[in-house]
Amino acid sequence: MQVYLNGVGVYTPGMEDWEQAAAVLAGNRPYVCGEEKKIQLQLLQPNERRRTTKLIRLALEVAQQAAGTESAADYATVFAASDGDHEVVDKMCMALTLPEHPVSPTNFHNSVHNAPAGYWAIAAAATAGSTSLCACDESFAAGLLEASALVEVEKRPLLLVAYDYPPPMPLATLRTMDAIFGVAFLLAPEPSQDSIASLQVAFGGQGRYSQCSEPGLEVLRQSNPAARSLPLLELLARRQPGEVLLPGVQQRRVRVEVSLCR
Amino acid sequence: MSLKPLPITSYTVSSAVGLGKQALFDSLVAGTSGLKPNRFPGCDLDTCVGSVDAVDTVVLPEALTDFDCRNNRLVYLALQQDGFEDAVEQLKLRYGASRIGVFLGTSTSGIEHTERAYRDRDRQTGQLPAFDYLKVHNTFSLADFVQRLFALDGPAHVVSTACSSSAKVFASAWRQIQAGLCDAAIVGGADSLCLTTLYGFNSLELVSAEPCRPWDRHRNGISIGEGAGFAILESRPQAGSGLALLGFGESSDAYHMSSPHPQGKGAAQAMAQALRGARLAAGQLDYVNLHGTATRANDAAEDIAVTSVAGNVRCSSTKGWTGHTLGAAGILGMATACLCIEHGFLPASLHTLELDPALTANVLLRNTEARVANVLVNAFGFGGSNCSLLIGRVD
Repeated sequence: MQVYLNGVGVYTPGMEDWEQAAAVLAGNRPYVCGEEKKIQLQLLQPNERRRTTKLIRLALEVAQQAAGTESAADYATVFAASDGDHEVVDKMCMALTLPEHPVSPTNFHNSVHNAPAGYWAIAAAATAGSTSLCACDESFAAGLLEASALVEVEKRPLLLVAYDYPPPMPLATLRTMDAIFGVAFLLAPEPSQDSIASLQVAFGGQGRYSQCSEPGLEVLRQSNPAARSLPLLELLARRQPGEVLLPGVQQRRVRVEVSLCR
Repeated sequence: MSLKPLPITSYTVSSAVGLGKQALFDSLVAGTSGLKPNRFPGCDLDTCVGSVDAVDTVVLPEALTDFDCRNNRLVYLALQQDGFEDAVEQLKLRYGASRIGVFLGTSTSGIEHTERAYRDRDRQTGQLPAFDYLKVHNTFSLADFVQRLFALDGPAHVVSTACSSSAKVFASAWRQIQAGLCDAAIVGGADSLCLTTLYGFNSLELVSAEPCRPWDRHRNGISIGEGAGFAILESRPQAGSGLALLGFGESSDAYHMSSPHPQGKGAAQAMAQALRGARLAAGQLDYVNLHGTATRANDAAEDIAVTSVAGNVRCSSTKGWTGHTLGAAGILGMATACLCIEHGFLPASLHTLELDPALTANVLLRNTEARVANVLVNAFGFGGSNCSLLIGRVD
């Protein structure tokens, strides 16, 4: 499958957009894990913004970065996360232990895995199809496969958003995740003046998956399922054609071959 | 975009009306509902539920006991019906284990296990009892379970788009087969009863105290059910079923997180896209299996969508039999569509006593015999996620 990459969004403390991330990943600046900033989402109305969780804000932040302001309404979307929203699961499960089971309606509608996609559709007035999917720690690669298949077969532009946020206690004792990371790709079926690179995406193989050469970034890669995208982001940042192997389901790999467009 | 029809060579379904597709067909013909007064442990809501009581005694294979939870038990139970396991083994011989995709839907996966862990937590330290969270509660759990059960290592993911989940997996399978990532796919999904959805829908005042009454003047909410179903989609037709996925439509309401677009705009968009994909005119539709949850707003919005896209087409909601099985609603609808086509039969909308005069869709109040070739299945979910499937015959 061949798709064209027309936009990138990244958020992690220390690399708050693609420009900052590219400087670090190209080796021009050291990676320093910074403080988490409160993400301000101007694209949502205040009444909706108030109801969002950290995971939702993370997803929308990188989606907005990659999509830019124009045409966002036209893009199909794939949202990939390694699980549901742990903050919401924690609140719901805690409420269910109390007398009268006082589950909040807002928490309940935010508990669906496609909550970030729903808020994005409202914010961007995007009425195209949207798929929220999960393949546990391999969700970025699974999302890239689904996104590439849709772009290739249905011949339409698509926004791929992958994001994971560490669970709160006590869930954190059952599910370890040590970093915040979100990434988004704007993909298109044909090259254009916006195209940064072309990606050849394939499923299969069992070779060793790609890692980051810089130790701090490799720790980050292992600390969050969405950060499994980092070796691919490194190639893009270095403006280096090449190939990465991403971890896929059942120990298979997803191979991505990068060629530069400009 | 028009679709190359994708043969459906095997399917199975289990819900409150029974295990396997014959049980669903028999209950549809007899008009016997699976809904009963709620006795789900830990839940005191005055409502009716569609439970699959057989899950309580299901034992997972020894190598997969880490996956033990209500949802995966329901998955395993459903896979054992209708010769489905044998069909998968045949499929492996035809295509190879790495050329078979697994795309399943769920909304809550094994959250019921985590609910219990929170109830059983240490009151002093807050510590939860240990269990394998990724195999039990994680959204991907059921696809991981199915891949390991059958030793498959093709592409896989779980779609979790609330109540459209197990409809949307048909679109994923179609795309990934078209793109050459796999040659066949196991699709479907499961959702099981849990306090999260029972009390969650109750917090939105969407749960009915009586068995749900889709399209009824006095409808007042959903009955929650549990269910699971699976289908096999193949790139090459096999002798036998003659059933196929002819089209699908996907859209987003972009309107509200828990209410449908009041004019059913997204629903209509998905239905129209499914028809275009199948290169069918609305007049060629024989039946629509409605999402029909029996909330005031959902039925009203879907009514406008159905009549605007497909006029006077015969339709009904089968939620009165099974309850609303949430993430499994799509695969239950697909199985119902297959039964309609195979048996020349259209089900009524059970428990619908007096049609809402404000609604105009041609909702069947009696079971009807008919030649059925093309069926549209609707599945719509929170977050404004809409999916319509067009199921029909292929030569």
